[in-house]
Amino acid sequence: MLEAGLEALTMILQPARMGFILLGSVIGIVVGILPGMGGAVGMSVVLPFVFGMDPYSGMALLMGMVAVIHTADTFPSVLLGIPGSAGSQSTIMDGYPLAQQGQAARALGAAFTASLVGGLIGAALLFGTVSVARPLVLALRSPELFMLTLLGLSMMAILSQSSPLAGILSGVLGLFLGSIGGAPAISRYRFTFDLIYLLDGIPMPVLALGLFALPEMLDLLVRQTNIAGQAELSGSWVEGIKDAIKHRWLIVWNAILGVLIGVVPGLGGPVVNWVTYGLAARTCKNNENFGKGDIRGVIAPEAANNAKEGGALVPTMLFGVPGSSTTAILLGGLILMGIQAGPRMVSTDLPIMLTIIWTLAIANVFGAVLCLSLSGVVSKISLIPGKLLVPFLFVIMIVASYQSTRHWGDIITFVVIGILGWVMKRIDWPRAPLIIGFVLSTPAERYLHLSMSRYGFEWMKSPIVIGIAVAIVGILFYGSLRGVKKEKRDA
Amino acid sequence: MHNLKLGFGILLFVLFSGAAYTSIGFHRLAMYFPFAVSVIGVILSGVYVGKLIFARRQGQAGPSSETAVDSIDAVTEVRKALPYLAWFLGYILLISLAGIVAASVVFLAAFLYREARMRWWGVVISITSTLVLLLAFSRIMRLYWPRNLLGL
Repeated sequence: MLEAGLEALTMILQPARMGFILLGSVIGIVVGILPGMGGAVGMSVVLPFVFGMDPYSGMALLMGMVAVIHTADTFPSVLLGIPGSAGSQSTIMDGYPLAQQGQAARALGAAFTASLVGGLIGAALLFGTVSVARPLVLALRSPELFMLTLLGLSMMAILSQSSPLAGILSGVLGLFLGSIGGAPAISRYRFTFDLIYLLDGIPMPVLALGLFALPEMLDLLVRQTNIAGQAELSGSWVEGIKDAIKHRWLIVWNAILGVLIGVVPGLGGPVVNWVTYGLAARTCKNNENFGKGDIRGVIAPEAANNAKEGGALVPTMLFGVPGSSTTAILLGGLILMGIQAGPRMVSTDLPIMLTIIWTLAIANVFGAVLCLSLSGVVSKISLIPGKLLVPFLFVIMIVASYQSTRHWGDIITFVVIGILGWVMKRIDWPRAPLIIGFVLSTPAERYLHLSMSRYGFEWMKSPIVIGIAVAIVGILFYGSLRGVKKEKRDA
Repeated sequence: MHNLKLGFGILLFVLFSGAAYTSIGFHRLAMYFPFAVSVIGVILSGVYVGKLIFARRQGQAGPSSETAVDSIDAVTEVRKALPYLAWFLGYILLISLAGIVAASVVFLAAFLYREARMRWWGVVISITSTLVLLLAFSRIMRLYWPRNLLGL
């Protein structure tokens, strides 16, 4: 395996292929920086060009782009409080407050370093587990997947510590909004009011943009200031790198967690993002500043969302089961190059699999270096007065939200959800639980239905199910215990 | 703030009640999840509204003026935000009538000149560069632009 790995490395180190990785990385950075675009848009840009390319070069281009999107999507999340992609939603929670304190460059430096290390760990774990991952994936049936969605939903409670009732109500609203559209258990539509737009439900990118972007834009205009709230920036990206080194074990732990959740098909980037953020907010020592600008709140999800790409490739490559729209298009790209995803990827097509792993690692390095070199300049966006910045942002937001389904409903939903988000912000309701509830609504219903219809109540006796249930109770209990201890200490 | 919270809580209560009632009419397999979620929503929003009403009654009996101050702040903020919301809605309306290119030019020019007090040459440069970037991205990344009423 090691020998084959070195052979693949020499293949990928050829100048032309390195050029394709670099080109893919640059496209990935542009797609990541533009809010609301995502892997699927990037893939649709690159895909036509891979037709006729040799598989190694084609994969260098495709994977170069995919690997870097979750590094560059940190820019809008930190600087504008707008999720760059679905996988960087929770980065806003502490990244944006840091930008508001004039420490955007520090937050970006820490995020890119965490992304780099996370991406490398993801690639390394993919390399180490590619031949043994098959039984792990097969062990996950619908009951286990349902319990994993419950683990994600438990983050609603974790992120609502300041106002538990409002937070849980916000999460329930998310679950309800997520139930709009087709029912997972039967071909019936719910709450669509005969509107074609709602048949597929509310698109997640539009919901995320509306919930986070519009409230921030309105607040910037009302406050009549810039994002940083001051004339000069403090902190540098070097300081951010030092922060990342200081919290190296947080990066390692979250990268491993990112890979593990990434392996599970269908859970996707937002789940990885929120679960890792929630766990960090719950389990880190001195966690009172989470949500107000704690650098660890940036480091944890950023390490995980890059590492997740390594995990997500396991079901995609070994089973041909795409976990997201991006990996679905990636499978299409493989077919264009004459490769069939499946068990052959670890036997006859092993060199291609190893090339993909190397590309993932190298593209992460390219992406982090490019983003770090840009962070000093780009962080100055936070000094632009709101009245100059917001009109341009609004035009971009409208175009970005329209890309989801290319229907006018996208724009109307963006504004309606935006007003909802703004009201929630005004009355101090946490918005994170809403998005967690929304993201997990369909998987929770689907896996619960499948579990009940296939196994009755027997599924509750599965050791993995019990293990995850114990983990959920443990996380909630441990967090509460620490909260009580802290309150006693403060008193 | 208190009134805004109460209004929002009542809105959610009505929304969840309506959703619970509507979901009863769905097929059994399509009904149980939204019905359960809606009922939980009705209970929680009921508790939320009840707590707020209880707190208000206690506040009226006591000397605390915090709620009144918060309320004034919230009203001021809403008043300040409304004109900007009107700008946004006006832009969207303009897109539906004239298409995104013309609407963006008008919206950016008017907003930058009137609200941001930018000089006319700054406005021209900003709008030109924005349009060039938008056109370039839509070409390279195959972005779709919202159509107006005429389908353009």
